Amino acid sequence: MAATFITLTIGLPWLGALVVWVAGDQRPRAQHALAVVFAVAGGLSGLALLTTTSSAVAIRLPVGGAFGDFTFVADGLGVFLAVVATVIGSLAVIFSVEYMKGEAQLGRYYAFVLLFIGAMAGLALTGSLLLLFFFWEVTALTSYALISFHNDDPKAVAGGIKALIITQLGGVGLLAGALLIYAHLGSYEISAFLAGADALPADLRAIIAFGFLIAAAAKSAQAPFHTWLPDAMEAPTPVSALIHAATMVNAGVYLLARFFPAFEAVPGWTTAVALVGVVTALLAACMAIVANDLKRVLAYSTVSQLGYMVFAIGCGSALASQFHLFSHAVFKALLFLGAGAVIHAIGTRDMQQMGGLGKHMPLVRVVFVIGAGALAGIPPLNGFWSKELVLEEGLAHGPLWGYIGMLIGAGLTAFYTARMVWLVFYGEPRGHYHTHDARPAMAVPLVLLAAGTLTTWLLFGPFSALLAGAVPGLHEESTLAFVSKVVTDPATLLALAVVALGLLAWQQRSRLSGIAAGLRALGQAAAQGFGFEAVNRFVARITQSAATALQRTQTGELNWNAAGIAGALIIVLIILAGGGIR
Amino acid sequence: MSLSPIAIALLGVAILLGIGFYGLLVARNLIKLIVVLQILAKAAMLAFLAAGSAQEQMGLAQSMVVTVIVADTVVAVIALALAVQVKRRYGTLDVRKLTNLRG
Amino acid sequence: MVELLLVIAAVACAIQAIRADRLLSAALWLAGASAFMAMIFYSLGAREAAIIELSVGAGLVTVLFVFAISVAGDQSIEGKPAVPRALAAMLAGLCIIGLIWLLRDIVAPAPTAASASTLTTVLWHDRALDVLVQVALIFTGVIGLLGLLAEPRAAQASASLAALASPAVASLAACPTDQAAASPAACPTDQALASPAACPTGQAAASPALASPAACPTGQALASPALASPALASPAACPTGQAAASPALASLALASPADCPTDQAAASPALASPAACPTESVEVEKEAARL
Repeated sequence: MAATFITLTIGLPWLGALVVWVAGDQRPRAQHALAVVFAVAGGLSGLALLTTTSSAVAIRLPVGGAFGDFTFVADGLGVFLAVVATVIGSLAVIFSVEYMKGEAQLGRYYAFVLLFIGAMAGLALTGSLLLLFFFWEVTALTSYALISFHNDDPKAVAGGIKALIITQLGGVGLLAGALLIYAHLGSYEISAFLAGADALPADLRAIIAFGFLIAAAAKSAQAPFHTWLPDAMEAPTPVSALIHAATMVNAGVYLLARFFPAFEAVPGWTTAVALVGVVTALLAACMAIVANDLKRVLAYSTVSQLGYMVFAIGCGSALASQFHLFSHAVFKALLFLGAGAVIHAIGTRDMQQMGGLGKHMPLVRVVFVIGAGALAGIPPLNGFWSKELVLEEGLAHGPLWGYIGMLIGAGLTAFYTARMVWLVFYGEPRGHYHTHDARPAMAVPLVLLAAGTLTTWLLFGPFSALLAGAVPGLHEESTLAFVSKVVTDPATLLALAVVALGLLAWQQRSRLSGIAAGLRALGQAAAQGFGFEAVNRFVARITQSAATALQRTQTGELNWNAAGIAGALIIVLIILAGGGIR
Repeated sequence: MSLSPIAIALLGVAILLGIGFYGLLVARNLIKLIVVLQILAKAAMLAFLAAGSAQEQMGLAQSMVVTVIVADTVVAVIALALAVQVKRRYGTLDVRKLTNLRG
Repeated sequence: MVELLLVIAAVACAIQAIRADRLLSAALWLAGASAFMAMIFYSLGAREAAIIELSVGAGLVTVLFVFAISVAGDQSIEGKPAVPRALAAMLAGLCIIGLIWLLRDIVAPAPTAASASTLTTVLWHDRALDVLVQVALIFTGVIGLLGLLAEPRAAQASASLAALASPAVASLAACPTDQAAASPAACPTDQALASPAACPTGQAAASPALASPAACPTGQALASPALASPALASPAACPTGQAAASPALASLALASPADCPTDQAAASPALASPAACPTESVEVEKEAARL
């Protein structure tokens, strides 16, 4: 049973990609319909997987001795991520029907979106490190293709290439770790590695652990690899919802959660993970405060919330991190799709030109405020509960500086969230526009996601049961116990107070203008990305000049290229003959 | 000469590879280059089979040769389609004139 | 002894394939080399591989080459190669010497693990991943081929005329055409075909002459002289695509819709295109009459 559902969850979106592409760009209505059908079918089969989770290997494809077997396992953690990817992916596809109406090359768009969804499901459901790497790379490729979808726009192309390069460099860490594991244990099975991790020599384990951390940090846009995510906002908004809420950035957090039992004994690893999480959360929150592009604010908030998830893993609680991933996927998708509705209606992403939209777009305002409330951590929305869990785990098991940093981060989050909501929906209109509220194809996913934001925290009990089978050391807990624990914990009051402080700071911003002036230098640094963008530009400049210098060797004549190859072969032969590799 | 069949085959491999490289360096017609690629592939196949014959592992060697045949036929197909398109667009198959990739 | 002769024959065929002047002879020498290679495979004990190599190398690949050569044309290219022949011969010689040096000890090693597994067991059990990858490769190759040889839709619409045996040209009733030549004044023609100004037709002619009235941009597919059957004309609806028929070629279609942008597949003989319609025309020796 599980085998069938796994095949359907990965195969249906991929089959849909092929079918939509073959349908041809002359039939856009057919393409829209087919994409929705296949995405929803994938989502349904993902939900069906929830009923058949087990830690046993569900599908095993022997492919010869060299690569081990290709296995797929439907355990709780993997199924959870597959469900997130396919369900939110299908909502994004439904949203695209309206958002991409009239756009050209829909076949390319939908094919890559569906490929993406299938690849993410495959990444979560596979039990072989080699297949994990394969799906990792497929998500990198499809995300590049989607970010640069408007390939006549140089900013989009540049954003796509940046995302590709940074995530690929991270992928090297994953590949290196996988190869080292295979070299030592003789198997690519994740379960074999988790069981036999103690047998590895300590320094090897450290290399693998930090290699995986680099890969996860690059994929999930953690510092210092966070620069690609804001530039990836050039993608069409449903794609941003897909990449930044539902799928790709969750892959890094999933990697850390999956391999945490093997790496927690590596000295310094958990501290490094927590440090990465805290630094990222604070850095991104600062950058969100000064950003004027609506999607950029959401991008920075994604990075910041991912920092929370990573920090939770650094404190040893996969449950907290995955629960926050759950809430975040729902409310971040809601925020992105809401922003998409706004951008689609107004035509610009600049918040300074918005304002007063609440009157024209009441539905969007309501759902956006719900999502923003969850982001800020206002009860009883799902973001509040999951963020509280993260903070509590941080207080109980993590370093104190981490907890304080995350608390400050919560306050900053509330501040920039209030700023974003106010600039877009309230106040006096700063631009001239005729707008309309969201049409049905856009409204349905928005309403569904808003309903989710209000209610998914109730699923804590079943959620912990789901994960308890997959992650060692995780205990099932009922929703009621969890709720009462959070409500009665004094740390909760502290967090609520900080959030209230953040909201109040925005409200009273005119009175606080003195502080704002004092922090102006910090604000400017934040706008420049705290120097990380400068590093990127420097690296790019060096590469460019090296490439220009080497251009002279490219004569373009095939015969000379072949002569080059022949010359290299002769050199290799001489080395072999001389060095005596016999 | 009392060379074993395997030795003769390996000698053939070396000579064919050399001929193939000469062809790569000297051929001017795009389709002639594809012919040269085929020759190089045959040399590689012969090398695999010679090694397999020496090691008594003909099953493995033959499966690799089948892989090479498939791959290199696909390469020939695509290369010929490309050559046809090149001829249509640029009007010439002369490799010296097709220097769009000049850096 | 037999192997020595076979290897010498294969090497000789390979040398001839590279030295051949015409592409068709090169393809045929390659087929011969494949055949001799298949025999060498058989003598080494690789029976299945020999059969596969014979059918694919001497059969399929040769047919592919003949296809492509008939489409692209068989002219030889004059001039000196980019890499001087002496340098090329020296590099190749160094490669051969280096390889023989490396291979000198492999002549008769002791067999390490004799396994009696046949091709089928190895292919389907041990190397199953290889088979998967090969299937993906073939799939990719087909997609690539389709993508490379695709014609724009307008061309394909009218590109399905059957090959004519004789160099006759279809023409509209209103536009009398002559096989031999002679055209009405209104229809500038070249020796083969006439097309009145009113009836823009593209004619593919066996002789590489084409006429197209100035008013009617047509793209003509030209069959290269190698093709026995000439292409066909299309009716006066102006946008014409003609399938150049060599019965062997499925799609030598060219189209030039009335809105002029055409790509003409040119086999060697040139095509005429009216001045009004920017087309890419291949200039080869004979220019068609232009108007």
